[in-house]
Amino acid sequence: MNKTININLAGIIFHLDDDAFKLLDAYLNKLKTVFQNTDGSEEIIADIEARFAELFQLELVDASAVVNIALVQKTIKVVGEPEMFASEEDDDDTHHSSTDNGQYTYTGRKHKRKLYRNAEEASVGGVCAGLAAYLGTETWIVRAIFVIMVLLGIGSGLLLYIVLWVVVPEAKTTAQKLEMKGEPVTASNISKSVQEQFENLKNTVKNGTQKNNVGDFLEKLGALILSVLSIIFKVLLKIIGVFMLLAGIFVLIAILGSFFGMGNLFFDWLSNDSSEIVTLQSLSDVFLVSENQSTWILISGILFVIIPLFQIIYAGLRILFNIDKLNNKIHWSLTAVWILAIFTLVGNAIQIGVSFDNNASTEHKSIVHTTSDTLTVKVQNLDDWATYGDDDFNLGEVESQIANVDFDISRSPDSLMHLIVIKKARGWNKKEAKLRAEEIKFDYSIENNTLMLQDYLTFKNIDKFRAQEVDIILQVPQGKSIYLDRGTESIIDDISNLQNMYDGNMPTHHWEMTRDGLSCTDCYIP
Amino acid sequence: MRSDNTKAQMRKGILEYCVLSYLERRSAYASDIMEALKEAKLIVVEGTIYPLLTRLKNADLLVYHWEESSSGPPRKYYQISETGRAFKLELDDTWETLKNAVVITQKAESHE
Repeated sequence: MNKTININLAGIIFHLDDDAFKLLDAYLNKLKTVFQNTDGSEEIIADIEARFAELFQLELVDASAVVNIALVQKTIKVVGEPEMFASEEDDDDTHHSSTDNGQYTYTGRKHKRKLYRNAEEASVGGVCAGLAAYLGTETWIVRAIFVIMVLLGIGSGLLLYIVLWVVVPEAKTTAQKLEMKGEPVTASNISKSVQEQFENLKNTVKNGTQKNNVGDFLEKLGALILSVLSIIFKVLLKIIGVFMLLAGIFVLIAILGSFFGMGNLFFDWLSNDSSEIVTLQSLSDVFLVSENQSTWILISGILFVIIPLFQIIYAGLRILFNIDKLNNKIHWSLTAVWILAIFTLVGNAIQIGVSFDNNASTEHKSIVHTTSDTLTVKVQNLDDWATYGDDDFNLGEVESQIANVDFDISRSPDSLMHLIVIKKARGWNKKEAKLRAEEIKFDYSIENNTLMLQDYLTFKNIDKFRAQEVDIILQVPQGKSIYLDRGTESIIDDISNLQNMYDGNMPTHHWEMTRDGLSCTDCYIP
Repeated sequence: MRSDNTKAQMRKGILEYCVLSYLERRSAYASDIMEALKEAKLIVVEGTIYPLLTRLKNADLLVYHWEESSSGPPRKYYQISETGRAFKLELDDTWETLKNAVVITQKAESHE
């Protein structure tokens, strides 16, 4: 008969067979050995013991029953061999520890730091990023040093860079990336580390030359050229960005300034009087159909110009500062508003166009009495009293002048000299156009055998500008002469003459109406 | 390469997640957890659960209380802690990612 041994498992007494005890004892010892280095090993072992106790109790008929080896074996089979589950817990020399927030952190042994190229953060070859990781500093600092070296030409920074690029391997595997950012190089390990690096470099160089790795070198050279090109491209892009930004802002300021009348930047060429600032409002009064219209055109005009400007400025900002693309909703709203502005502008243009639709004219014929055979024609130019030269248009507060006068000379149907003044204008309809034509003010005088004309006509601003025009036809009888004074070239409109002289050359000459037509009497004809 | 090792590695992480999932909705005795895990064929031997529970408890992911048992020694009833809940939420994301990774890589067609 086997002797029994009493043991205490989790506070409960069990009677075990001798061999059952030996097996259980061996098992628990193994358990202790396996878990000796594990945190909370005692607790784990206690838990397992308690489980044994529980399983024994479930199997035993009553508390005094003996635990035999079969039961122990069965229980061990259920719970498992210590190395079986322990290996699932700790399978390598790394171990897990908990931090305050309950997250597991990796606390395995640290990799020693090595120099690699950091391709992930590279802007060219990753040399600077890799160096920064090695030196434990920030990438931009190393980059700045390299750029300064290149710019100053110290130590041929560029050459150094290329050499490092070719020689220093890229960190490709996870292990290499860990090494790249691994354990800092300290005073104690620095010499060893440097030596290792040097060996490393030497090997790389040796391999590079021995293996005749020309392809690899060419590849790197190609990559370098590509990188340089891409940097140039990026710089150009930035310059374009700056240009877009500045141009956009400048034009915006200029346009806003003139729209709101604080500057006469764009419209002062329309004014002959520096004290009289021409605003868009006064200009529009002369051209537009109604006052309402000017508001609409102003608003849609501003939108029409400003929306693309805004886009340009935004694009510039995006290039410079890597801002996000414009929100789709905003983008489409802007586009919609812009298209609406175009429609408004076109609609108003059509309306204005229609107001030019019909033309009408008035004709005034008078006889020119002269005491001499020669009539001098002089012209008072709008330019003469305009502050700024070469004006075709002078916008006033009540009246405006426009240089729209044509002068022609033709043969008189009789022996008298006639002056025909035709005033023309356009309008919605014939009647309106005619009324407008009649309102045109055009002054001329005939004194001392001199016909004094103007090269401009005056109209009232409330009449609007509707292509008002004055045509002057001087009918000259045969035998009479005309002297065209300097300045008349501004109104001469294709006067046919025997010499076929151009309008601009006709002044300062005497022209006689002959049987065949107007002929120059004092022109030098080669 | 031994497949056993890979299997163990795969099982190990998932085991923690499953235990936390199981305890998320109830407090349970170790053998209850084991029954569930055995049913799920995740563990073969019960011993695996004890070091795991202890480790999770020491990491403050689980808490336990004692309860008397009619059929044996007092039992430890485990339940998830607040930290454990937050941790499990993180694992949920990871699990989705892993699951997708497996599905995607298994379904991926060859480029021939």
